[in-house]
Amino acid sequence: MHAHAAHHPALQHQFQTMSQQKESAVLGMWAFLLTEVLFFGGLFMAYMLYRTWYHDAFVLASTSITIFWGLLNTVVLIGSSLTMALAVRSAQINQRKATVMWLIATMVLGTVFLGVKVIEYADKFEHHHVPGPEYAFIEPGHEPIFELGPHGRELLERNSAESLNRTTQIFFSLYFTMTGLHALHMIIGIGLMCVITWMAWKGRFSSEYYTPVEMSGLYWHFVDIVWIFLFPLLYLIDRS
Amino acid sequence: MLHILGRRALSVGRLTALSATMQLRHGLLAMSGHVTSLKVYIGIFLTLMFLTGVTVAVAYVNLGQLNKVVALGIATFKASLVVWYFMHVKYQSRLTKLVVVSGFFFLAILLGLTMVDYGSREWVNPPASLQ
Repeated sequence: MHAHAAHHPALQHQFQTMSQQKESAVLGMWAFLLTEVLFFGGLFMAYMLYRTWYHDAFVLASTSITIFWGLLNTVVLIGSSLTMALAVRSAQINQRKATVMWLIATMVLGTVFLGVKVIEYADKFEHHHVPGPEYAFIEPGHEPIFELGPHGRELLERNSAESLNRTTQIFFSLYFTMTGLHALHMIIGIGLMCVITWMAWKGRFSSEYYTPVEMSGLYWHFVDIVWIFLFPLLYLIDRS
Repeated sequence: MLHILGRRALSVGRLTALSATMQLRHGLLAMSGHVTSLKVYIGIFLTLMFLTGVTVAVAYVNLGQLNKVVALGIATFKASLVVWYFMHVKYQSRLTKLVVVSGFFFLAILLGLTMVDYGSREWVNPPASLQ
């Protein structure tokens, strides 16, 4: 018997063992994810700097966003990370149907997240909170359309409506860029998972080979991590 | 004599084949990787949910500069749990762990040094010849 005859069909010729092949895949995926960390990192940098420069505008603009939708989406997305982890686990222990089921659950939760995002974006358009010529945050002499705590009211009163209408646009520009790019990553993730689910359904994975499930899991968890930072930074700056 | 040599050659051949199979099997078994228990996954999920609740509650309390620190501290801890358990870095090789940590180290340089730059620009008055 020649050793090659018993090779797993998924083992590429440049690797000696399946574990070596998997370790290379994990390392390569992390190298990619770290470029993504720095990609989003640049935006977080811009956010930090502008938040320091236009503190009051950032607090007030953040307070105008409804916490409920952001909180719901946080629960949905962290829940989808759990179902993704369970999909990988099912593949590891040879449970084909459970793998498919958990992957579908992850895609459903991802779609719910995007649906909530659509509701939120529509709300911003309706209230003229989208940067551009139609933008209007505070009408001079009018009450704001959102609830403010005593500290928020203090900040509102020490800034003119005119300056807030200028500076809060910076917050919303970052809001749309960051959540938009995050949503784009989720759309790519769901597309990726469609392929992986089909492969899982066809019985391509087993405890000996489930690398594609694990890799798409890494991608999905990364997208979850970005949201873990976006939620407090965009929705929860200061509600007091 | 020839007969005995032939048998010996055969058994050596068998041993080689056997050791190759064992090596292969070892590789395959290692492939299945660490299977995290359901209890751990659900425990991590519940911890993440709890910390989400805490971070929302803290936003309603005015802690001044500390609000930022608490919110980012909780988010970093949550992200670490996801990286360590959901992304299985806990069970990866030292090389992978080192690469992951180095990536976040460079993120810290990006954020830290840029903020130090902007934060300290007003500390010095450039000489008139440079203004």
